[in-house]
Amino acid sequence: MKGKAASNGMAYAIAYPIREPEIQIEQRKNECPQKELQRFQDAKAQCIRRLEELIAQTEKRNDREIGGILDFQLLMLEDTDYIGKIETLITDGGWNSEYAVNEASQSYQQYLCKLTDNPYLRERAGDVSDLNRHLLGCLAGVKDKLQEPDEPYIAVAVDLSPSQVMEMKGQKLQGIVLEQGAMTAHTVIIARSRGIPCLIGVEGALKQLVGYKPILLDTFSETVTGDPDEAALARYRHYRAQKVTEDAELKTYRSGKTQTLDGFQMKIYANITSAQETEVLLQQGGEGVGLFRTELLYMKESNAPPEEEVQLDVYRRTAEALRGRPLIIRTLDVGGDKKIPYLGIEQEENPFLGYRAIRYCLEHKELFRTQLRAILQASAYGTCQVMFPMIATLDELQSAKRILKETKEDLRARKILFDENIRVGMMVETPAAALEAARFAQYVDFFSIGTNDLTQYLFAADRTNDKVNQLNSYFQPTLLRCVNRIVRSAHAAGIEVDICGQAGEVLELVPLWTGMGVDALSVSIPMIAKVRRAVCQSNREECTKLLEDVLQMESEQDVRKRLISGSCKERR
Amino acid sequence: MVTKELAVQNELGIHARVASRIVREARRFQCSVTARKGKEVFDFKNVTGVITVNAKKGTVLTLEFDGVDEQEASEAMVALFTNKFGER
Repeated sequence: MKGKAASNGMAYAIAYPIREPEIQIEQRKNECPQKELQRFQDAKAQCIRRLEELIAQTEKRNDREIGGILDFQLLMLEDTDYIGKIETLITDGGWNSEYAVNEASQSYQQYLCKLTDNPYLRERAGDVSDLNRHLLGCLAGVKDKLQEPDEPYIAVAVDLSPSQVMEMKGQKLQGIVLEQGAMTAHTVIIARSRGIPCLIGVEGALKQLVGYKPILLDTFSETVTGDPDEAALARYRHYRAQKVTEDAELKTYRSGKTQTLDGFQMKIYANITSAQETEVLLQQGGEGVGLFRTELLYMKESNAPPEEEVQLDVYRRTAEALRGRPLIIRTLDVGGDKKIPYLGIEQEENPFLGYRAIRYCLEHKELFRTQLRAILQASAYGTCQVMFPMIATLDELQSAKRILKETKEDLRARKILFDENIRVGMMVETPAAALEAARFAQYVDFFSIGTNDLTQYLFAADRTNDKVNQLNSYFQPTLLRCVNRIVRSAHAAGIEVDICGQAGEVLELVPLWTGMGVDALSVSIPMIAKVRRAVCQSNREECTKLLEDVLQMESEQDVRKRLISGSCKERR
Repeated sequence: MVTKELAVQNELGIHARVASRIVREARRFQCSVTARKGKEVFDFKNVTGVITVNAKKGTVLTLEFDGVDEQEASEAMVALFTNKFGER
């Protein structure tokens, strides 16, 4: 069966189906109010036990967000008003528990949904609905806990909620196969940051992959199968053996400094899209966030951009969790392949060359200001930095900086705290910015090179078009010379320069970045330790020589040969 | 009975985490803890009571404490509000 790879890896284990119980809420009179009340109270007690267990787990993981949600649900179960309403419906009304629970939950949900001026409370409506489902589940006699099998397993489900993934403690969970699921869903993000292979959009998975039979999940070929052939199993065994040795080797690179053998220091940051990923980032030894992609916050909303408070809450929690480590927040990078329907950007012939990112934000000042206000306020809680995407002209940079300055003045006038010295940077991803890097460097505190876009713009080759993909190679000498120039211009002006594009985590290229003296590489979370190892095991002097060599080359093939010979190629 | 006029001072107002803190604090005392906003009365020992106040930054609530330990309870609640619920 085919699906879409959402988190890479291979797994071979029994299929374990996770089905949502079907709950029917019929309204009927109970036979004996006292007995019915007892039935409800038993279900409630079961629900409380389960919540307390989950809360204890979140405390261990230091996950304040999910912990807060669960604590709210726990308080609901102790709420004399909510519980009172249910119990009255059972005793005085003589109704069955299911109907009573559902009625009471719905009246709160409706109330909370109406609080349009208070996004925080409105979100709690979802928690009441979640609690309602838990209670109804307990009433239906569903086991109060997800019973994990005793042996390693691959979870197969229509979709999973983040709390369900949390309950699977990760040791036995080898992989996830979802019939639905979305690339941006929290479940997928959690799987990715924990390094659990995950395939989404696998139609009919629950029907076909049942019965505790072993299945082979391979996200590299984007397949999952109930009867793998010998060749596929051999591939899996090879993958597994490599992974075991590698995990052991990488352990020492999940903490500590990033320093070459001859003492040159770099930093390894990670790219994230939500506050929840911070925890795993720290476990993997990330030294900060080099790119917070804020698009997901906007994509999650259905009608309007996320409000200031909602954004502030996310940025602030991320900043706090990082405990002083840098947090570079990129302002909205909409457009290109990232569509947000409610922003009303028209269908374009060439979306990558169109109305996107800073171009859109500069014409939608209120939306832009809202985001800047949230970032600025979050800066009071950690080391936040602002970064503007897709800058092509100095005018754009100056306009963006002017709006930032006005936003600061506004906050100052209202006596709202923020970091007065917040650092401001820009993505270098258009050829115009790359060419003029020396000029741009006079006006920002740092550069972050977005190699994905820079490559496609440099070679005028759409990176979503397979036919021209050979041009989109990070081994192109022209690209490498271009990046080298940007780094030199930045350092000549005394500013920091990072790489946040995918090229930063291509292990064969890491020696070049080290040779150039890039200050930080911002990579995906599972790559943190690998990239750090590559830096720590290298020698700056040798890297510089290698770089000089490569910068003389004229063919992509030559660069590839030079960099890949000697280092064993890794499967990614 | 002890009465206190308290303004919500933190940026985000009474949201879910803050509501949980208020309830946990109020429940430490025996006396009743209620809030008045206009004509409505809200029970602060219940999380539904605290969130339905829908208080934002700047909202002024009249808190009423009634019972044996009303003095201590009022002091604890004043401290919590002045401390902006440990937020900003």
